[in-house]
Amino acid sequence: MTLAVTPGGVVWAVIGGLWCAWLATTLWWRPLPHAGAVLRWLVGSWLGRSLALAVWAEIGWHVFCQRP
Amino acid sequence: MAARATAGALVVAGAALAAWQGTLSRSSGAAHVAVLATVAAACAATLLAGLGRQRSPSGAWVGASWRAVAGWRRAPRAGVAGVTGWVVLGAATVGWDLNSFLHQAHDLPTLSSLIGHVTGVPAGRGLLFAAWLVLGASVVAMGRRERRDDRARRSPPAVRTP
Repeated sequence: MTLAVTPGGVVWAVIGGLWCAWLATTLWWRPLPHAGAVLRWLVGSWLGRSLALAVWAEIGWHVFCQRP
Repeated sequence: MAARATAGALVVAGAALAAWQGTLSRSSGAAHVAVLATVAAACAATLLAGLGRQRSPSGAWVGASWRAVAGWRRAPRAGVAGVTGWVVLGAATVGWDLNSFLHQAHDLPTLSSLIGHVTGVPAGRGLLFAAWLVLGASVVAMGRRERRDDRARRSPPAVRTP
């Protein structure tokens, strides 16, 4: 498997790096809301939990059944 | 004890399902059935586990979230910075993916085409499926309130002696 470096790929690498850095920062510095806190807020009601479940289901279908 | 055994059985079943999913391709009927069955099971588990255990009604949740956004000037700075960080990262990801999708150019791969490189390998597909299962289990089980009768059973009211 070979991956060519493209301008769009570089932007994705930067975005991925920012995600990793932000996840680490929010875990390290507790006053910032971390990923678990965001998810906990989202599932705080039936509406939020249903939305999260719908997005999760769509991600699963798209990644494992549609795209290569 | 029973809850721990159930959780253990679910972890083993999830790992087996992910390992099997890794051997399938996106176009196989078995992969489609497995994903749809997992989604159906998650919806059923959400309803079963959630009856009487959701922390707040939807209306109150929307109202509280709106008041928090509207009153951001009075909120702690760290909280505002944190939420801003999540929103900016989410917007950047969705925006760049949308831009790549609209251009349909080789130089601008979409996020799903990049993920396709991972799911094209059995181990990558299996691990990503396992991560998807963990995320789904979190959405189903996280942030539940204890049922009133469970709480009462755990700590019965004190008996007064004369």
